[in-house]
Amino acid sequence: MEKESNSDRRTFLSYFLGGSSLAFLGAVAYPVLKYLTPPAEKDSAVEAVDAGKADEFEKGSGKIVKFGSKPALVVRGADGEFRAFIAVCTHLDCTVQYVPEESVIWCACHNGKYDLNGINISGPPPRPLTPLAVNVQQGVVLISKEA
Amino acid sequence: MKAKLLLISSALAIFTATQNVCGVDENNCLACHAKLMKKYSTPVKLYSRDIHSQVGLICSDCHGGDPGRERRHDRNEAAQAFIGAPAPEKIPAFCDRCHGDADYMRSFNPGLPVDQLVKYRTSRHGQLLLGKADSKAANCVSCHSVHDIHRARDPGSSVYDTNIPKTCARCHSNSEYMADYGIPTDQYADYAVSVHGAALLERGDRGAPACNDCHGNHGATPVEVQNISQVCGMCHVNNERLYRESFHSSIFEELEMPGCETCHGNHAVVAPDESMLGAGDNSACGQCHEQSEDDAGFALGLNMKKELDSLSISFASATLLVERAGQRGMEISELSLSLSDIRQSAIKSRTAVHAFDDMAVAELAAPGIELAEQVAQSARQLLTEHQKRRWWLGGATLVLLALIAALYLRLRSIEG
Amino acid sequence: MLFKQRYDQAYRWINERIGLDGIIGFMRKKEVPVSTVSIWYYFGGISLFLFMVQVITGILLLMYYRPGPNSSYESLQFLVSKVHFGWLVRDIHSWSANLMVLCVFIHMFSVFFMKSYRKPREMTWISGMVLLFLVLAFGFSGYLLPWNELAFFATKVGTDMAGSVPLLGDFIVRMVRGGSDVTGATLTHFFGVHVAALPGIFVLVLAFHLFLLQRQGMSKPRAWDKVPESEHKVMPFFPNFVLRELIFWLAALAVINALAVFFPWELGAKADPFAPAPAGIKPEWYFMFMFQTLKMLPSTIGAIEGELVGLALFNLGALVWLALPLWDKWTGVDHPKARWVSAFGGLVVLFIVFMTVLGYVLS
Repeated sequence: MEKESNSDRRTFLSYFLGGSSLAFLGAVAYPVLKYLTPPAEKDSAVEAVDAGKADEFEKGSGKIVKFGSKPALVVRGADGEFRAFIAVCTHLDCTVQYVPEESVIWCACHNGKYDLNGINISGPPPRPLTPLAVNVQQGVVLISKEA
Repeated sequence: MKAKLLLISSALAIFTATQNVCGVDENNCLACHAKLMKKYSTPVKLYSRDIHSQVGLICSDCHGGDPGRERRHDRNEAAQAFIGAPAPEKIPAFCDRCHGDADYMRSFNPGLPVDQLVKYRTSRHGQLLLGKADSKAANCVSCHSVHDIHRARDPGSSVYDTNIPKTCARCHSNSEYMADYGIPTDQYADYAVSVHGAALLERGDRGAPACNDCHGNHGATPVEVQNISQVCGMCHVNNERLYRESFHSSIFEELEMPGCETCHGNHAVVAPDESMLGAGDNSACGQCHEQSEDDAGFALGLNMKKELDSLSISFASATLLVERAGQRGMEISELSLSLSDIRQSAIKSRTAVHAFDDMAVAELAAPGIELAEQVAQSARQLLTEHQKRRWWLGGATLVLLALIAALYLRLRSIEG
Repeated sequence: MLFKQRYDQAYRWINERIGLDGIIGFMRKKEVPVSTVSIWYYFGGISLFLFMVQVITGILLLMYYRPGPNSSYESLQFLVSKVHFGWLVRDIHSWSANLMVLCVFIHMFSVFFMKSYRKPREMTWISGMVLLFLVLAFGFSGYLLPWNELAFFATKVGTDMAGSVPLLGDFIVRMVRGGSDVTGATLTHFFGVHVAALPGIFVLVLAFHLFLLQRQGMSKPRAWDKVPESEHKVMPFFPNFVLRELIFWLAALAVINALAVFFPWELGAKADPFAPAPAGIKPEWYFMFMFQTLKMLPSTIGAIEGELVGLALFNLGALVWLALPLWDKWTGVDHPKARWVSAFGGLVVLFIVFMTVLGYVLS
């Protein structure tokens, strides 16, 4: 009787050891595999951000899009060219906007103005806007950090 | 007798010395003046850095006289055309000989204005100096210095943006000097603690106004009451426009009270906050309105304050939550962007106060408040997710403990 | 049943080709002393385990980390916030690094106090000290890789010290930094060292260290010299000691996991080479005692710069410690002077602990 219960116990222990080893391997493999699966959202530090379809931008219009944790201003000038900048005013960090009537980028906080190259042309801003690289690929406007 | 002899012989010695010292040079002014006592040699020391020196002008180009002459200048000899140092009330005209001559200035700096004297005549300083021969009033060299003049955009210049307040304060903060004029002398002290002063003097933000940006430089005059808001509106565009279009501006005009300054002050402009709309010592409305809800104007202010308070409180708590989530390594870029959107909304709604329309303020504050609540909610979710990691840890630890137990039992069975 | 059958078949297949029986038999024969000091025997194994954890998490980190002044911090930010379990991998790597340094120090000092370095195990000690220096190099090079403010300035201060060496100082600093200042070039240098050079060298030295261990067996406690052999208690290396080690390793893993969840590693602010150094720059805790000592030395000692004297003394000290079995003639032969060596070691431990604590208390 004792021998039987002993061998029962041994089998139970073997199963317990085997089972917990498998559970352990699973608890290690699951995070590792999930880790190696690329996440859905892209890293804007290197990858480009989709700013919308090129057709949806009228000539002489501007749009604010999310670029990482900052707003970006995408401007389509009267000449049809796309330009993009980090939309944070270099004076005191207000969000700038495009004023089509004057073809300037304007900051409403203290009347700072930038031209379409992002250069500060009037008012308090001490520096130009940070420019972004714009590429239109397959009808989609992509903006990314300048090299 | 002996003293007299000593005096005469030393005078003769000095005289001879100065005669001998004058050597053969093109600009002989420097040759003598460099060796004279301080009052006469300081210009020589300074002048090499002066902008006039750098464009090739020498002493005689302003002061007259003959630079090739080897002996001391003589005012009485007409041929020498020696002017020397002009008296204070003659200085503006002295400088204007060149600076008011467009053709002449074009050869040096085509972009430089030539209307300084014209403007100066309209200024308080000009009226005092030229109209009343008051030599205490500022003339060209009072601000620009003499023999050491730099371009205004040169940081070493006494009229460079960040140096202007101190330059004006030389006289305007000196209560003894200004005693006769009946105007306060606390402008610099007020300005230095103001938002503009802190920006310009402490942070070096040249976008902030110095004295001349509001008062003019050559035409410096206190701003007329009816023009104050327009001057502020050069930068504070939306605030000025809304104020001008509001009912408050016509009331103030009738009362001959200045816009902007009445609530915000002139020199000591501090960062505005919601307490200016409410009750208490800092209340701007309370300066004229009775501080009670029965007063329609004061009640309007209170309504606006309510909206703005609500926005700033929800903004503050959202910011705190997002920061906490970020510190725990959660992804907060989208939330950070929303925070800057809320900030924009706060700026817009505060600006809307100047329309004296509480509905407008409420309309602009509402999206900000809503967004702030959403952001706070999302941040709380992130923090919860962070907490969930502890559950994962609990599970993983259980598995580990199970395996450890199994190994231990196996060990026991081997050794037992 | 089927599992056991397949297992036996596989075992036999391999055994026919490389003689597994021999290896396992050797491991079964190998004995581990059982005594009151046995607990210290585990620290070498735990250090090895932590190294393996580092290699695995390090390889995982490599999948997402991009070295460079414009991508190191950002890729790490991406990793801890967006990648699934990225935070976990990174925190395990950071915590395990610190624990590994702690364990190798404990391992080294326990070997010292148990005198296991005596003949015939001198080479084991020397290779072990080399491994310890390599681990410190791992720590120093890896610390810069997140490219955050603290790491940047800690590296700057740390590499500055090399500059005080006469004649060669500037050259050494430029070699280490890849330039005269800490820049992106330093980052890529440190990355290459941390990820390729050091692991390669480490594995070779470690293999030698383990080979010696297997060849010579575990060192017997000093106390056994006075006890008759019949009373020596031993256990087989395989499976008894190995099972115990596994238990300890798993416990260590549980501890690291808990640390990763309850004390997560912060990202900090991105390094800005042009910003002034923030107040209170400190190195990692395992360099603190050296940092604190150098801070407390006067600026000149005699005619020589104080820092240089301090560095020279530390280097000399390290060399003396490395060569311990070669000059310690007294320990192996039970000479009364052997007590002085232990006392010296005790003083060293006290000094390190005291200076480390002082460094934190004073800041």
